[in-house]
Amino acid sequence: MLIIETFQLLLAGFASALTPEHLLMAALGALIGTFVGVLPGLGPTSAIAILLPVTAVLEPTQGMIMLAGIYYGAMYGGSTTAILLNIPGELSSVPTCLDGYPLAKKGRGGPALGISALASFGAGVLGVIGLVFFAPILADQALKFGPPEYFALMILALTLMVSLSGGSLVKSFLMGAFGYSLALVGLGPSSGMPRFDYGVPALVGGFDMISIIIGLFAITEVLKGIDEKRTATLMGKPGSVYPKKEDLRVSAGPMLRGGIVGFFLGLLPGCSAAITSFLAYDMEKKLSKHPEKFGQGTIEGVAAPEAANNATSSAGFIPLFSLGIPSSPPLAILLAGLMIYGLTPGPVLFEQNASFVWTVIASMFVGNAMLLVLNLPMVWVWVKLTRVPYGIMAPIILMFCTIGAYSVRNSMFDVWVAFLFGGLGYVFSKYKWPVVPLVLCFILGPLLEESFIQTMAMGSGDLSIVLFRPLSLTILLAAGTLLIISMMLNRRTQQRLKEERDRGVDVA
Amino acid sequence: MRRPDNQPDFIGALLSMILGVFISFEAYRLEAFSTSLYVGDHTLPAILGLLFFMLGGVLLIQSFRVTEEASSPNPGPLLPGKRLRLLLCFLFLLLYVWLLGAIGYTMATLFVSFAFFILIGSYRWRTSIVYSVLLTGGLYVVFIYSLHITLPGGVLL
Repeated sequence: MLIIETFQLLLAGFASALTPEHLLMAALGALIGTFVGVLPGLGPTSAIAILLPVTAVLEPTQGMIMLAGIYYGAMYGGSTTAILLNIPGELSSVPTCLDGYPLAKKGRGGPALGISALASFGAGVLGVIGLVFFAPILADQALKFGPPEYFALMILALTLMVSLSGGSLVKSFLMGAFGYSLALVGLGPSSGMPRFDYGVPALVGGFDMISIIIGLFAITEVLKGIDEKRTATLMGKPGSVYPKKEDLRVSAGPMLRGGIVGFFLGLLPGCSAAITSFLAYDMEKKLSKHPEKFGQGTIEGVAAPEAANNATSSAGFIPLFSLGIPSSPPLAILLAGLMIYGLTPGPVLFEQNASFVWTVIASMFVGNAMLLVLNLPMVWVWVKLTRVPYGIMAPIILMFCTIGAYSVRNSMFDVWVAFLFGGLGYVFSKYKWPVVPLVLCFILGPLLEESFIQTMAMGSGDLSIVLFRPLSLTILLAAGTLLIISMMLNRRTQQRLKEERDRGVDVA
Repeated sequence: MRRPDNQPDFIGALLSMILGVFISFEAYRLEAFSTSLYVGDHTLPAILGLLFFMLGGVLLIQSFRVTEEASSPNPGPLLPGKRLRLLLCFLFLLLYVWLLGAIGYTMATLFVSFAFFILIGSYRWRTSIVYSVLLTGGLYVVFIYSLHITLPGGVLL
């Protein structure tokens, strides 16, 4: 596929995404995504998890466009709580808090939010450009992908365990294994025999990924909120959200540098936004003529990590769409959303569903633009929303989760699963067992098993066939290299997080 | 016998090892339906069973070492009041699932959301009734009336 042909597909995607009803979906998605994203204590991952079932009632294109809006809205909502309330919904927002919150205390939270939205938009543009150039290369390789290559890709996905571990690698792998085990429940792919059902008819159909996601992210968050008795205090007035010329001038360099660092490292599966946002923040501090101002409330300290965070999120779409590997927790939930619509991200995605995929990519761009057009002028509404008492929000979220879990398959079993996993997620969180590897492996489980069985069958029970095919060997070598790189970068990030924790920053 | 330095991890490790044995038994059962010893529905369960057992063993050993995580300030046990509220909320969630089937979505939501407003928000019962009626009505309009989502009817609707 030529770049020109890709460009034409992108333009067709824009034509589809820019119809009035699709624009309405993007606007609604961006609004409700931000709405849930700004609620104290709910990070972007939980926000997307809560809203994912809402999109399931729409037709596929509309649903995906709304989901794109929700994704960007929730990400922006996460930045809003980090800047205005000093609550980093995700680890990647911690560097934003370091200068964003002091700025908010000085009454300059508005420009910080404006810079954050601009950085997000710029990073979104970079992501789309990257996909335009990268997609044709991958589409050319798609036909060379057989079961051994897919199996090698699944091994590559395991490198994510390092960046998603949150400390203990053993616990991360155990949670991953738990996710794979949950994916095994139901009918076996080769014999068609029920597995792990123990005579319970509901288990023959397997677990629904949405109910597990809702349980582990949304219900767990509510239970944690009840435990912590969450209250949010807003410091100072945000001021105008439109950055001044001076703000833009001093932020341009950090935004560009942060964006480049975030984008290129974000292309590597296993390199999370937490890694790049800390790297960008530290790099900017080193390059600055006034490093002593960092941590006291400087706009460069918001621009660099926000640009890196958003650029990594946007770049993450490239390994997600092309390899089927999500590099961050929100992208893992988005992957689940894609799969609801029967889209399995991977090398053949661009070959088989080109028009739909490019509509989704264009809608990502539209969703991002919606943020600038709709969310910035409405910042006061979001600020007021952060003051909604938790005692009102929590029951609403729980009722929402119930409808979400039930409506996917009209099954009470799924509601039981969501609530039980909500309880389990609370216990996991209490004792620092990371849940993202569980979800990731649950999503990738069926793909791993299918490619594994097919590879074993191709090699007559000998898995070494993976080592004798150039493409699968290349992927395995890349997996090994990425594992080492992500271990090094992750160690550095853990060290930085520890430093910030010691300084009293409330790190999630 | 020496007590583990990280008791929650110790328990987690034991549970992982038990889960490993449990999964291995299922793999053994599934092997009977397969034509090949190495390729079939039992292969991945067998690998996972082994992995659980091995990684559980590693974590078991680690739980006896004083690590940074183990020595870091523990969140500590919940205060009795908080623990009771959390437990009640969870029990009400489970009760909600049962009520959904028994008395239907609308009545179950009205009743359970009333309980949640009292439990989580500590609102007075009159305020909680108003909030629960508004919430149930709002959700009814959005999901059942506008989006035509089918929710359990039960005997009372």
